[in-house]
Amino acid sequence: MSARTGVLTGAAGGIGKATTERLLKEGWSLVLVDRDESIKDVAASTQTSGDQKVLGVAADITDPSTYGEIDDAVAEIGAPLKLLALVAGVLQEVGAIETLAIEEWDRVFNINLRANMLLMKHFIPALKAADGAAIVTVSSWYGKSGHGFFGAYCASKAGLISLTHTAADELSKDKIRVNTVAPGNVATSMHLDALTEEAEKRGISFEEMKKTEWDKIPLERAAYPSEIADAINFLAGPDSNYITGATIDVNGGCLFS
Amino acid sequence: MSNGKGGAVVTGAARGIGRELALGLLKDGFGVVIADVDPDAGSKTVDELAKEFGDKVIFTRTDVTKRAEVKAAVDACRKTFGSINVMINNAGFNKPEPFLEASEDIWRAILEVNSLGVLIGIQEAAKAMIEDGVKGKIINTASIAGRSGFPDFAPYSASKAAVISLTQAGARALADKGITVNAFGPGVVDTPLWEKLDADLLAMGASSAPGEAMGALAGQILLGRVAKPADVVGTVQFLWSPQSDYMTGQVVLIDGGMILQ
Repeated sequence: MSARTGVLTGAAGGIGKATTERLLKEGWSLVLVDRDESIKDVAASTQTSGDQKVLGVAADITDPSTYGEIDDAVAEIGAPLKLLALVAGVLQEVGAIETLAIEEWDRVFNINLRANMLLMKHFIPALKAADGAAIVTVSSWYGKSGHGFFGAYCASKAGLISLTHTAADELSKDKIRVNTVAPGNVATSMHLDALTEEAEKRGISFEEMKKTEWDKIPLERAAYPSEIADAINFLAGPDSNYITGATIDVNGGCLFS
Repeated sequence: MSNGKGGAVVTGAARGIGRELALGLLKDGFGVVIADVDPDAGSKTVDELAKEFGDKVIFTRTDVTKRAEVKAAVDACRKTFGSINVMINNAGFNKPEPFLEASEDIWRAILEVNSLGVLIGIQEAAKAMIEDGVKGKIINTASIAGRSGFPDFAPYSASKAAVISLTQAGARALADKGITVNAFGPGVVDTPLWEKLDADLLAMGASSAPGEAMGALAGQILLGRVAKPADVVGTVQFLWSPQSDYMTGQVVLIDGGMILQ
C-alpha cells in the first residue's frame, strides 16, 4: 500500500492510543492530536516500520487557529491525507437538565460536536485532493438514545451522528466516505470516571454502579479500547469501500437499533 | 485439519452474495458447506470452488424451511471440518407485487424462507455450537428493505425486518454462551435476485425497460453505483473475525449510502 496519512484526534486517550496502534499496523502514517502536551511523547514512543512517520501535535480542537500546526505536520509527513479519525470527546459533568449549567452544555457541545464540524470543514479540501479518503467519527450508543443526567452528552453525540450522515451525503461525489462508530461502554478512564461520578450522584458504591451498568450488556463486560479501534480501522480501510453514512455499533448488545 | 479455522455453513451459497461469502470464508481458512436448495447450481459452485480449495468445500442440499435439512447441513459441517464456527443464514428470495395486490401465497412463501429459515438456522447452528463448546459467530443476511419498507415488495421488506428482530432476539438468547448474532444489510446488489427483481418489475409494469428499476434505485445511492457481491465480503468478514467480538445484535448496512441511520 502506498504512503498515506491520517489525522487522529483524542490520540492520548484510551481509544485514541488503541486506534493509533491498530492504524500503524495497517501502514498508516499519523498525525496524533490531543490537547495534552504529552501527545508529543506519545507520538515519539510509537512503534513504526519502514518509512512510516508519526508526529504529535498539541492543539485545542475547539479553536481553528490551532489547526495550522496539524497542517504543518501533515505536510511534513508528505503523504496524501486519506483519513480523518475524530476520536476526541468529553463526558459531561453528570447532572439533571433542571440544574445543568449552560457553560457545561456549551463545553460538551464545543468539543463533541462543534469541533468535529470545524475539523471536517478545515480538512475536507485536503481529503478531496487525496482522491479517495475516509472520515470516521466516534459517537456513542448514548447518541442513539437519551439517558437521565447525560442530557448534554447524549444530545451532542446524536448531533454527531447526524453530522456524519450530512457529511456522507455531501462528500460521496468527492470519494470521501463518512461513517461513525458508536461504542457502548468502553473500559477507559473516561468510562470508569463516569461510573464513579454517577455512583456518587446516586449514593451507591462504584461496584454497585458498575454492576448496574454492565448487567445491561448482553456480553456482560465493557469493550476493550482495541475493539473500538478495530471498527475504526475497518471503516478507514478498503473492506468498507461500499459503506458510507453508516453506524457500526460496538456495544456488546446493550442497544439494538 | 491443519491450520484451519474450523467450519462454516452458508445457506443460499450456490450463487450471488452467498457464493462470494463462501469464497471469502475459504480464503480465510475455513472449511465451508454450500447449503442450497438448488442441487445443480450448488454442485456446480462446489466443483468450481474445489479447483482451488479441494476438499475444504462441500455441498448439502438444504431447504432452510426444513429443520431436518438445516440440521443435516450443520452436522455435515461438524463431521467434515470438526466444528461449526460460523453460520451465515443467507438464503432468501423476493417476488415483487404491487402493494394492493400482495397476496397471501407470496407472503407465506417469502416469510417461510426469509424469516422462518433464519430462525431455524440460528437455532440449529447455536445448538451445535453450545454442544461443542464453540464460541461461534452467527450472521444473518438482512437488507435495507428490513429498515425501510418498499411498496412493490412488502412481504420481502417485512421478512427482512423479521431477520433484524431474530438477530436481536438471538443475540440476547445466546450472549451468555459466548455466541454472537449479527446481521448485515445489503442495498442494491448486482445478483441473480436483483436481476430477477428487475425483470419482475418490468413485467409488472413498474418499469418500462430492462435495467430501469435497478437504475432508478442506483440513482439514490450516494456512492453512485449498485454493489457487486464482492462489496459485502469485507464487512461480513469483519463480522466473522475476532475484530467484531464486542458486537452482538447489530446490523451493519452496506448500501453505498441509501438509508442513513
